[in-house]
Amino acid sequence: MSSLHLRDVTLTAPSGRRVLDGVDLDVPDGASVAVIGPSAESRTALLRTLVGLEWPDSGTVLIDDEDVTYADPRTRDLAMVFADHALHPRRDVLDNVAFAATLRRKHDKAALADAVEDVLDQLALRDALDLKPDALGADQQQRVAIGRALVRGARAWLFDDPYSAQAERIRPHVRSVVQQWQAQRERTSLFTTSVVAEALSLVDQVAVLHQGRIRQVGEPRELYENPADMFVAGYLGSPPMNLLPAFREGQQLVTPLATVHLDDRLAAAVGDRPVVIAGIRPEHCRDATHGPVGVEGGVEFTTRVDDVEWRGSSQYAYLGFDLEPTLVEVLDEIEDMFEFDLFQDFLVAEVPPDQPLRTGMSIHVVVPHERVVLFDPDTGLNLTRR
Amino acid sequence: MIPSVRSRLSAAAVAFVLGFAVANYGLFRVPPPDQWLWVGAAAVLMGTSAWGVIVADSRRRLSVWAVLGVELFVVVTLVPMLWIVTLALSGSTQPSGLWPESFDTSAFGTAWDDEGIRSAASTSVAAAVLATAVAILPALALAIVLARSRWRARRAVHAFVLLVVLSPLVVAAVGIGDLAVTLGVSDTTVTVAVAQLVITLPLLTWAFTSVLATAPWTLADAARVDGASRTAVLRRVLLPTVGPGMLVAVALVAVVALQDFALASSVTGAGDARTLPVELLQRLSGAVDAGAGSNVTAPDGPSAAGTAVVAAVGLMALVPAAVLALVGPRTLTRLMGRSYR
Repeated sequence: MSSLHLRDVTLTAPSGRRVLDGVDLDVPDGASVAVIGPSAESRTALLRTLVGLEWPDSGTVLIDDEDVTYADPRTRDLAMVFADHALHPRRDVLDNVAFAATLRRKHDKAALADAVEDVLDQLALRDALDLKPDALGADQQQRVAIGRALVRGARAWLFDDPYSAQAERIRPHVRSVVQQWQAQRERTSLFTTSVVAEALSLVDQVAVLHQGRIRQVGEPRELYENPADMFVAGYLGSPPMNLLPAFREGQQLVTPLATVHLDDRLAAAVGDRPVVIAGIRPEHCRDATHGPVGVEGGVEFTTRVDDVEWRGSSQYAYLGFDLEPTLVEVLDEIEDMFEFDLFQDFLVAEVPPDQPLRTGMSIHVVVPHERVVLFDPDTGLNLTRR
Repeated sequence: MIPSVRSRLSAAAVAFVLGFAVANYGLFRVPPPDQWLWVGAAAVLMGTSAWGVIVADSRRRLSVWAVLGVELFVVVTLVPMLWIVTLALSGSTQPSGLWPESFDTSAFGTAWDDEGIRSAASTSVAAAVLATAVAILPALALAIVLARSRWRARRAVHAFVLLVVLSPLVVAAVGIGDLAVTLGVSDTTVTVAVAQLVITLPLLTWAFTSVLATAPWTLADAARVDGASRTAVLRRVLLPTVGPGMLVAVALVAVVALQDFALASSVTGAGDARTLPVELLQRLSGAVDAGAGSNVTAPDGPSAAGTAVVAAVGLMALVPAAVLALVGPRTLTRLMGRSYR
């Protein structure tokens, strides 16, 4: 039971790139936090700094208010699952999992054996106890690494992309094993993952790490519904939020597909900016082709379906539009600023999967007014954030 | 990939022309019994040619060029070897052909009992072992820096190590030899060992760097996180994984140092610290008396008996290499290049 803190931590990679650039992060006692972001290098660097394998250029690392910035890793008592598993090639699965305990001169062999077999049993590795890592598949190796971390009675657990090698079918099981251990022992844990959806469903808090900085920290729902900036908006969600350039014309906002009436909320957000970026989540684009959908005073437009993506449980309509070259330049600048692809030349609308939808069909879309989000094109910040 | 018919036919043609030439030369110019060696080689080449024509349009994955290459390799390596065997077995008569005419093993006994050769051999071993042993620690330290650190000058140092490995030894030998004479430390085993550091240090650094490149560094990191001290990481993670590779590297470098001639000969003269290669080559050039079994010291070369002794020592010096080869190149390459990530 411990809390972990990073205070204004900056770290330069051997390549000379700033992988962490003034990172502030708090992992409260007993909480489970996920760090997401496009750069695996940055995510791993954050964990390695916490665990003591990297010394930051500046900033402090605290465990329970104790400054451990330059402390030896072994004194920090943190367990970590490495992204490349880091299993000992000459030891079998049992020895690998028990490794940390055998380092201590005095350990209860029977209790250790029980704990090890218990966790290996739960992780579906019962048949692999005496195999060497070479004989295991990548998914099994990863589960051994998870088991090794769980068996350690550390103050906190750090997981670097711990489910990446797991097959779709077994992923939920492995996740639930980890969550069970976590809940039983009320252990602080910090995950990193490249799968955004996984982070959103797993943890108490999500931190978005991009360009070395923490863009936003909060509950998953808060991040999804109230993103701090365009990057968080575009990074969370699949398909991502639609981002469209919008011009102010009097009391209206003109986007490539629709014209938005500026109510008090949006008008206050726009201020005197001539151009803003409007964000709309695909699921907030309701298909009103076959009659009203109970949205009053929403943004409405009719267009042609350019492409259809049917996923079985959901269905997406791709609605294309054209952009003026000058506008494309503006959007390119924003993408350069965030070093991330944010803009498309189509809008994605989620349509109920049972609704017949074909390319070339005409579609009438309604978006509830309160669902429209506006971003500042210069800073990328969310202007409508509550 | 299946080689084309055309490629196989050209290989067959080359094999035929070579075989024809060898057969003609052997039949008309070489007296028996060597004639049979030539005829045999010609037969193999012509056979290869015929076989190449037969399999030219088959769909099997075999290359006639490769077969021809193997045959040339065998000839090039085996002929000098056969010559040494013939020399060693010739006793005190000058052999007239490649094929051994007599079976006189007395040279081996003479070589074994020869004090000069014995002391040269022990000097060789002592100097090589000393030079290698002294080089281990500095080479390891440098290799760790080269393999692991973020030091900016790393690449420059790496390039410098490669430069030393590749530069002609004679250059270093001239300098070291002159220095040894100036300092008055020529003709001691320690001087030979110090001179051989020029070989062992860069070579060992090079070998260690490639061994350490495959070291499981994240595994070491993981062990440290799990609470292992630095010595525990070394003892329980690094040594078991890269230890065998390092041992092989040390053995190979020691063998290379054993074979050194240029450096050792630059710091030794008529004294007692001659290494085996120096001793043997000096005997061949007639600078030193050819040893027991012959009272004749030829100014322009050793006697036939002396040559036989040198050849016999050369054959005996092959034994360690043969042992290494028997241990298996697979074992060696596996130990050297195995990745533990």
